[in-house]
Order: sequence, then structure tokens, then C-alpha cells
Amino acid sequence: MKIYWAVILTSLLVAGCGTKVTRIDVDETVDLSGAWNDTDSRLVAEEMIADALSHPWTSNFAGQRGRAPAVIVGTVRNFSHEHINMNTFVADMERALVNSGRVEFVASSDERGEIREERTDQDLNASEETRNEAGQETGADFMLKGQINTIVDVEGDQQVRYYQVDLTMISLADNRKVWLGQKKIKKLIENASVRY
Amino acid sequence: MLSIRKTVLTALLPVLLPACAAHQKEVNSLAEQLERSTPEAILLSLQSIDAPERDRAQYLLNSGLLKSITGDFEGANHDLQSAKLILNSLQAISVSENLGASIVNETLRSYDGSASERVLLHLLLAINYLMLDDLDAARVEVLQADVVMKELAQEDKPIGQLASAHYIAGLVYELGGELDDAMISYRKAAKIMALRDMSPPPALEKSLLDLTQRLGLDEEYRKYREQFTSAVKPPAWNAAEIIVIYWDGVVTAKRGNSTSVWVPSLGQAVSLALPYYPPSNYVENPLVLSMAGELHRTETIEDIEALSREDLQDESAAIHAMTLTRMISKYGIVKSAGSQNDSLGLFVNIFTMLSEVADTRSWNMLPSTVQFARFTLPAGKYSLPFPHYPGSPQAGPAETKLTVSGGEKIVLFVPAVSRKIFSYTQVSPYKPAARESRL
Repeated sequence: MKIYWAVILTSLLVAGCGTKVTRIDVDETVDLSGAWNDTDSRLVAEEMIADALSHPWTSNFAGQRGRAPAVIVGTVRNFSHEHINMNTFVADMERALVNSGRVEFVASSDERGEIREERTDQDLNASEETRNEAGQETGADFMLKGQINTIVDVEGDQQVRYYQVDLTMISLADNRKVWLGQKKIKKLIENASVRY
Repeated sequence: MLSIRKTVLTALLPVLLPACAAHQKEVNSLAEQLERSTPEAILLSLQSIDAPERDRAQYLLNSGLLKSITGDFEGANHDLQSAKLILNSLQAISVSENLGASIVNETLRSYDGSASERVLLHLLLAINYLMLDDLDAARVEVLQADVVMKELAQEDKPIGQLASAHYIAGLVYELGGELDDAMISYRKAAKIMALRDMSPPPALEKSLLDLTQRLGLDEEYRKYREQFTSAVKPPAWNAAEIIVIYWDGVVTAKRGNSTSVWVPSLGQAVSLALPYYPPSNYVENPLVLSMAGELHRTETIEDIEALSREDLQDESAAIHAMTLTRMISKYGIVKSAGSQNDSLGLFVNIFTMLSEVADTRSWNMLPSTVQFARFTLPAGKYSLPFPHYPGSPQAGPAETKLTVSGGEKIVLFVPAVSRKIFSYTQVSPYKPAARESRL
């Protein structure tokens, strides 16, 4: 009988030690630590860009110039308490902007270097028919800049994290700010005071 | 039977007790060798030690530190961020570990770092990110350090409050052009030093004077002028501002004090093991830089030797309470075993003595002091001497070159034990120049 219980106990312990992986939908919200996560990044990017596109700056520009505005993402700075991967946030915004079909998107300054290098290489190695000439780039009409700020309040095992994302669309022609967007997230995090 | 048990236990005591703390002794020994060896060699030795999983955070803290002082900042941050995750997850009280500590010894708990160590972790990460030219990431770390210090704050004593962390925070804010926040951090650094009866180093005095002047805080500026000996004048257009972060020495490692006595009235041997810090042999050795005809000395802003002892003192009530609980538990276990069978009682008594080991774990490769210097330097090319470190076997170039341009702010990170100098250069806010091109 004793051996029987020992076997059950050992099996339970061993089972508890194994790594378990469950595939979940990328849109599913899973909050583990309370920190900024993929859901925050995606939702904030989508909501803010939807807000940006609902304002008249795009239609005003299209009315004046007869084409959709070209936008470039500038610096989005992380002033928060967390190491946030700004690349995923910027990529989420770019995707939301491009997929809207209301604006055109031009490569960022980092990306342009590689593209220009390739174009120079084409100049030397690509055939006349397939070669892309230099000096034909589309200049951006607006730059999207922004920052993420946080305020953290701590008391005992509880923490309130307040995130504020501010984005600004600036006209490159005259530095006018044509859209100011703001999205706020507030999270109450209750850390366990006892663990096994 | 009792006399046989007494004879056997008395004979075994000196042999058995030290054996249990072998792994930690090895780590402490490596820390002690750090001043006489190279950090690269110590890192290799550290990596070869088979440490238990519950000491993972201690291992990562030490390996992260060793990587930092050898210039592998990416690797260091990887280790230190992992250590941070572990330490954060261990802040909740563990039922099983407390049970283990109340029956066997304190080393059965996962290593969760002292109050000061939790803040110093962020400080080192902030320095590493600066040296990687990532000012925003350094800013994240100083914000996190501030949250940790708020969590640790006590009304009557400055446990876990570090002037050096606030000074680095002020520096990071200043480099980012956030002068108001920088001013608040410098004030906090001065306040903590006053609480610990320490005089602010000239670097902090200059920062306070400079910022109060630039922010137009005239009354506060006048107060500091009366209080401080340092003078501050706006840097000339062709001068750069140099801020030196100097790590001197290696902090003393904890030791264990074990006592075992045969108690006739109980009919068993009772052991007691408590951690303590031996007197420090550290002698302050500031970095002296002779540049542009002037001597610049670093001065201490953080005495980590004192902080470590302060943290242990703060934990001592809990350690003593747990030791007493453990003595009672072990007495009960031995008595219960002895009542069933004398041999079993003897065996269990040996085990309870053997298992009584002091918890001597700490972030034992930290420097003894954190020192700063702040001065201006006319544009030009300079030679920086490597810090002289007595007993260090390292061979290498005797100096490194530093090119300085007007308007720059240059942060130098100089860990004495590695005899290396790292730098971050800011040409103008948010436009740091590549580190490699400067040295």
C-alpha cells in the first residue's frame, strides 16, 4: 500500500515538473506579469491609427494635391518604466496605416540605406530593363512621431501602471501638427504575497 | 548510550560541519581572488561551478557583473535581466522554502538578493545601457530602480535607498535633457548621503550647483554655495564635461559562524550557524586623473561595504527568529527519532548538525565603493592611465586615448579590477557618438 502511494506521489511530482506548451491565437489576450505586451502594442497601434485616419488631414491633403499623403514613421521613444520593444509597436502602426489604403508609406531612414545600397548594386549588375534608377524615391509628406510614458504607483503587493501613448503627425512641408493622438491604459497588478 | 552519542558527535563536529558550505565557499573564494586575478578567468571558474538552481540569481548577478567589467555589455544585460526576473518572482513568501529553512537551513531558500543588491542591479544595467549608447534603456532602468527604492522605503531607516542610484538617475535625465527630473534625483542623492552621515562628493555638489543655476533656482543655488566647497562655472564653448564612474575594490563576502555544543540536559548536540561580515580590509583607492594640467580625483558616493552590513543587520531579527525556530524543530526531530531507536537518534542528530549552515550568499563581486568625479576638459586628445591596482596581474597598454570635442558630455565607466575604461559620448542631446571611435 505504501509503495502504491509513493508511486502516485512521485508521478504527480514528475508530471508537475514537465514543460507544457499550448498554442493560442495571436489575438488572444494573455496577461502574465502585467507589463506592456503584444496585445497592448497591437490594440494601441490599431486604435490610434484608426483615430488618425478618421480626422480630416488625409482628405485635406488629397483634396489639395490629388493623391494620398505619404507618411514616414519617425522616432517613437520609450519613456516608460519597461523595456518595450518599439520595433513591434512601430511595425503594428505601419501595418495599420498601409492596410487602410488611405495613405502611402515610405521606408524609414534605417531601411532606406539598405535599399539605396541595393539600387547602387543594380546600377552595376542588373539589366537595363530591370534596373531601378536613383533619384526616383517618394518623399514623405508627414512624419509620425511619438512617445510612451508611464506612471507607476506601488503600495505593498499592489501596483497601478498607467501608460500614456502620445502620437503626433507632423507635416514635413511646414512643421504643422495635423493630428495629435493619445491612448491611455491603466492596469492594476496584484502580486502574490505567498508562493508554493 | 548518551555518552556514546556525545563521543561520536563531538568527534564528527569539526569534520562534518564545513563540508556543507563547500559550494558557497568556492563562490566566495572566487570573489576574493577577483582583485588578484582577471575577471575573464574568474568568469570561467564561476561558469564551471555546479550551483544549485536556487542560487541561479546569485550566479547570474555575478556573471553579469563580470561580463560588464570586461566590456561584454550585451551578455551582461542578458544575465542581469534574467536575474531581475528571478528576483522579482521571488518577492512572494515561499511556503515550502520557509518550511525547509525552519527544519534544515536558510540556504534552502532561493537566493533573492538583499535590498541594496536589488537596487544595484538596476544601477549596473543603467551603466551597461549607457555604454551601449542606449540612453532610453538606461532611463528605463533608473525608473525601475526608483520603483524598487519606493517599495523598500522605511520610515525610520534608509534601507535599500542608494545615493549612487539617484545620482546615475540624475545623470541619465540630464543627458536626456530632462533637467527637472535630474534635479529631483540629485536632491534625493544628497538627502540619502546626509541620512548616512556622508558628505556629498564634489561630483554631486557640482551637479546640484550647476542645475540650480541653469534652472534658475536662485535660493537653492545660494544655499548650496554656502554649504559646498565646490565651485562651478559654465563650461567654455570648446570644453567637454567628463563624468567618471569608478568602481573600487571588491566587497567583503559573508562568512558563517557555526557553534555546536553538547547539551546534557537535552541529551543531544545542538548547532547554530549565523552569517556575519568580517571586518573589511578595504582601503579606499580613488582614481586620480591628471588631465589638462589639473588633477581630478574620484570620491565615494556609495560605500557598499557599509550597505551590505546595513542590509544584514536589517535582516538579522528574521534570521535569528528562524534560527531559533529551527533549533526547536531539530530538537523535536532528534528527540522523536531517539525515542524510537537510539541509533536512529544518533544518525538524525548528526544530520541536524551537518545541515546547520549559515546562509553566506550575497552578490559578492560588487565593488567596495562606487565613486564619481565630474569636471570639464578643453577639446583635445588625452591619455587616460589605466587604474593602478595593487596585485593585479594584468598586462596591457598603460593608457588609453580619449578624444574630446567641445560641448560633449562623456561618461567614463572605470571598474578598477578589470583595468579597463569604457565610455559613452553625447555630442548633443539624443545624438550619442559611437563609443569605439572615441577611445
